[in-house]
Amino acid sequence: MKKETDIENRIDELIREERETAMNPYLSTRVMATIAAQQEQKARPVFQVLKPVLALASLIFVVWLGITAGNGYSSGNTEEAFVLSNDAASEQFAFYLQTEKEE
Amino acid sequence: MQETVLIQSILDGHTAGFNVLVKKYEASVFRIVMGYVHQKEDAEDITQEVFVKVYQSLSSFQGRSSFSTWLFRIAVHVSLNALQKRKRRTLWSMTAALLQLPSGNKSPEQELSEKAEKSQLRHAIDALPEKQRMAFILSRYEELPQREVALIMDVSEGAVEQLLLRAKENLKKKLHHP
Repeated sequence: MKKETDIENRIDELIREERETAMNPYLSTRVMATIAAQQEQKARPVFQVLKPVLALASLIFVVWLGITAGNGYSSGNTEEAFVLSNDAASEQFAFYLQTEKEE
Repeated sequence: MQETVLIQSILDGHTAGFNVLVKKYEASVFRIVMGYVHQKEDAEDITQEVFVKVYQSLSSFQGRSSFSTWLFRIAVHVSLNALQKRKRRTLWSMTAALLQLPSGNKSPEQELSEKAEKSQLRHAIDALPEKQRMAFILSRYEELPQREVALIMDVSEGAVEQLLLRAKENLKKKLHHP
């Protein structure tokens, strides 16, 4: 049979040892990170519902922007300007005509 | 800053203020949890779980008891729930603890016999009836006064005294005749 004081001492020793166990110094950081992650996760379902809505809205906006830009376009080229702009092509014709003469 | 003011500010959205509460009480919660699980890693995980639970239910804290009483009550409940969940792991953790390498100062036989003895003591504490165990852990691991233990357990101070006496007797009985 073990002595009573011996048992009490052994219990005290075990408790002292467990009480003195060093805790992770970053435990509070871990707790705050977990809380932040949970809050983020809570906010995410709203974003996930909004995601297709935002994608569709962006697509509609881009199409509308395209149509509006297309409708609003005016070349500003007059008929004279068009003829002038074709000068380069005319010169090429002249070049071919010239080579034919040489032959 | 007073705790009630701090809690109100956390509820108003200043989440960072919760860190002050965690830092103030983490060691106490850790010690209580250690009394239940006796393992550092498990105790850290459960302590984390306690504070996350506390944060989630902070709005239900009505200030009828002190914050520490409310917190320690949650710590006890979360520890008990975790123990229920982890029962399956007990056999493995016991074996792992026994198989740990000796520290070098003592002979392997001595080391093994000390480990077996400590394991026997832990089992004796764990085998106490729930209320006796709760009173024992709160008063011995966290060294809380009987008045506070009574508040946490929602019993009278006399009842706590009785529980502690019976816990002591039970431990002696179990360790005299294991």
